[in-house]
Amino acid sequence: MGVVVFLAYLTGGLCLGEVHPFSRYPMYSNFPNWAYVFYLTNQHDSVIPAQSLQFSSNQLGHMYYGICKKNGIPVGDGKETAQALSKAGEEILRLIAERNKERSPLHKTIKLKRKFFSLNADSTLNCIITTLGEKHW
Amino acid sequence: MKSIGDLFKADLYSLTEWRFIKSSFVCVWLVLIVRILLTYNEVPMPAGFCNLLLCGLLLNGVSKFILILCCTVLALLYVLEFKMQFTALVLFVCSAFVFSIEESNGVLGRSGLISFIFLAQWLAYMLYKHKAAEQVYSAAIQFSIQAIAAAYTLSAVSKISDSGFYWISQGKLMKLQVLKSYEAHYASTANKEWLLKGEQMAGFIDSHPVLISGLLLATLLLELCAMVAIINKRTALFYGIALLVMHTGMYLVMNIFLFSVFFPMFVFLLNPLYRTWKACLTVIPRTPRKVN
Repeated sequence: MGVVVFLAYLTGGLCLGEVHPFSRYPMYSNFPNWAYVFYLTNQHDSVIPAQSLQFSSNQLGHMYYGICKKNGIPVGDGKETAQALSKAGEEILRLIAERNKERSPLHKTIKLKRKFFSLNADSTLNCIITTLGEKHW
Repeated sequence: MKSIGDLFKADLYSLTEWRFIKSSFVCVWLVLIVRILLTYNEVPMPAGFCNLLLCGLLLNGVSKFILILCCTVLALLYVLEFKMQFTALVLFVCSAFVFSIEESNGVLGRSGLISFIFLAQWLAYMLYKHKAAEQVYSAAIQFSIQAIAAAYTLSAVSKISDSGFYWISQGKLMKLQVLKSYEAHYASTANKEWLLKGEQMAGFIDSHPVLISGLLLATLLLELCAMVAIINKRTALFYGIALLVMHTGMYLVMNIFLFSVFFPMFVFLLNPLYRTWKACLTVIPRTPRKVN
């Protein structure tokens, strides 16, 4: 049967893109001049390990991009409006609370923050921290 | 003169090789499926197969435990080689729905390859149903390897279409993504060692631009030529080793590890359990037979 499966998966990936079970596998297919890292802090702004709330920082990022895509919010390079950030933050914090609803709360307050990294022309690093939202237990 | 079909005609795999491959593949698959079903309770952003059916119904109360039970039974049937034309297809459907649930929660794990492998195996069992058993197993493995090779080729095509061949010269911008990756580990664990490691690795990338470009070029070529892995068993093994080195390098430099692509590659191209078992057989001396 030759290479029928190879061609089928290649064609599916190229034509349908990110539709399960296909993908274009575009991870790091370009290196933009910006990067976001999402993290959680408590009321004293100390970092809460996302794993302690059954998440990873990358999952928070994936959720952020998914919510922005769903709501038609243009994303990347710090161009999101404060309103858009607040909307995404509220939804992510709701999902965090939902996944941890059967556990006793470890923190009175959880803040969701975003670090926005970019490189200046002289290759020095620029970092802006924004709070997307907070939830009280 | 050899035709293209002859060039890619796989040499045969043994039943033992197939048993080791499918057992290890389906066991890890089952762990992934159970973890997803126990983690998620809703589908806030329907994606993939969850656009076809209300996946929320699969997560309601007892239904998720019934699904876990079904998947466990199917995995067992798969290992026992029971009615594979049915089993592989249903495994594909279950796999696609469950991984879609994860994607519907905003986690783009890109696990489509794992689901697609079941579909490729179903196709092998359908097309080779009247052939000798050994040919059916070999086709199932060969078709799975073809899907894996296609995934790597797609990754290379994405890089070329998104960045062109300039991708290999973007080491300076790669520094930013490396820092992000280590920062993300810090945010996940609150362990400050990750920040230190990130700074060290970013410094290394800054001071070795030629080496980084060379590594990026090697990665791009390896992914682009992944079709070589489907020529025969030997090329599959050598390509598997090369990809293992590539994934190890990516983990060491960028601290990223894409399990959903690495795991099928590791199992189907390298078949580590089978090789360990064979090594054990050669190391452990056989008991000499008594001669009367």
